[in-house]
Amino acid sequence: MRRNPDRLNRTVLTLLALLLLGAGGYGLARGYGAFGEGRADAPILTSDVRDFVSRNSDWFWPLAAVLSLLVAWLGLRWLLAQISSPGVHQLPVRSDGPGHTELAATGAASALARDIEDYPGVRGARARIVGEYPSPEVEITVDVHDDADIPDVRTRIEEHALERFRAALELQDLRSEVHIRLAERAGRTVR
Amino acid sequence: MRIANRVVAAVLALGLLVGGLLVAVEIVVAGFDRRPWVLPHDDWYDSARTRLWEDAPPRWIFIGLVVAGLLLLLLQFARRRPTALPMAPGAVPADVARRSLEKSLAREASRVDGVSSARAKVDTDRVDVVASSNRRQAGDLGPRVTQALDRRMAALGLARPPAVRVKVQARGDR
Repeated sequence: MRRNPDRLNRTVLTLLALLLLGAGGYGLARGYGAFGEGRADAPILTSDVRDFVSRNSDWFWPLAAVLSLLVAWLGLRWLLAQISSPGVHQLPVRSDGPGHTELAATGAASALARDIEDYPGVRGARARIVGEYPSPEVEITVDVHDDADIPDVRTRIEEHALERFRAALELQDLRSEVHIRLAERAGRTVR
Repeated sequence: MRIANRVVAAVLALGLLVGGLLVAVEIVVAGFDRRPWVLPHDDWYDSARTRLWEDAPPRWIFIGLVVAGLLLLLLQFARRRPTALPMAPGAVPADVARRSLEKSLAREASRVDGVSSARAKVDTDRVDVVASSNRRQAGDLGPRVTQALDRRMAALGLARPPAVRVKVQARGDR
């Protein structure tokens, strides 16, 4: 669930690498006569291609423009994936009356983090609600002291903090993930 | 490697965004029989019409494409250490950050009497720890550090605790 673009980058860059290798490899192979001498000494833009484009210019160029815009849009999405992750800002609260109430997601996440910070061995905690309502996910990062009982901290988070959080938000199916970072206990120094 | 990948990804994504927009604009501009706006596509068209596949300039471009593709592919398949080590299955998926674990293990090793400093490198299946000592002889420092770190690793509750390997550098070794 960790919202970073590493997997996306790896996939897209591998595809791009294969595309570059394919295009470059084909060009070199054709230039060195792998498909026959006649094709090696042909112009890169043959008359057949030019005739095809000119015969179909009424749809070819509009389609090319649309495909270019699609590439630009994909580039924009990819670029945005490097700098941001989709966070939830508001969580609707169920009400029986005619009104509509929303809860600030950051406030709910802070309350969850404060709950966790009270556990023994925890130095600090951060929670973030990501994804789309009605099935958001919560990502918790906990800094624990070196000598903390880590399995115990984890169990408390699972059985206490997250249970309370789910009940408060009425999101029993809330998916979550815990990231633990080990931290030096204050006042101790490494020799 | 991840940082390099993110930089390359950001540059390429920006290239696709700007390139895609420019091509679309050039197509519209050409539709009104106007001269190219930014991309000299009329020169490229003339060049592609006259240059042959076996000519040197296209060949250099193809070599460039192959080299760029290979470099990109190598970057993707370069071995990376995990950012986090998964904990044993539980109600909620959990992991321990690798860098923090490395620092924690170094601190743990440094607490062993006789160790002046230590550094640790964590991988999926192995932890390499180098402990430095001011003693002339390492003596039983190696087993003691290993024992302390094994205990520490066992207490973390990792799904697959990596094996700990300790190397002690005594003053006499340096």
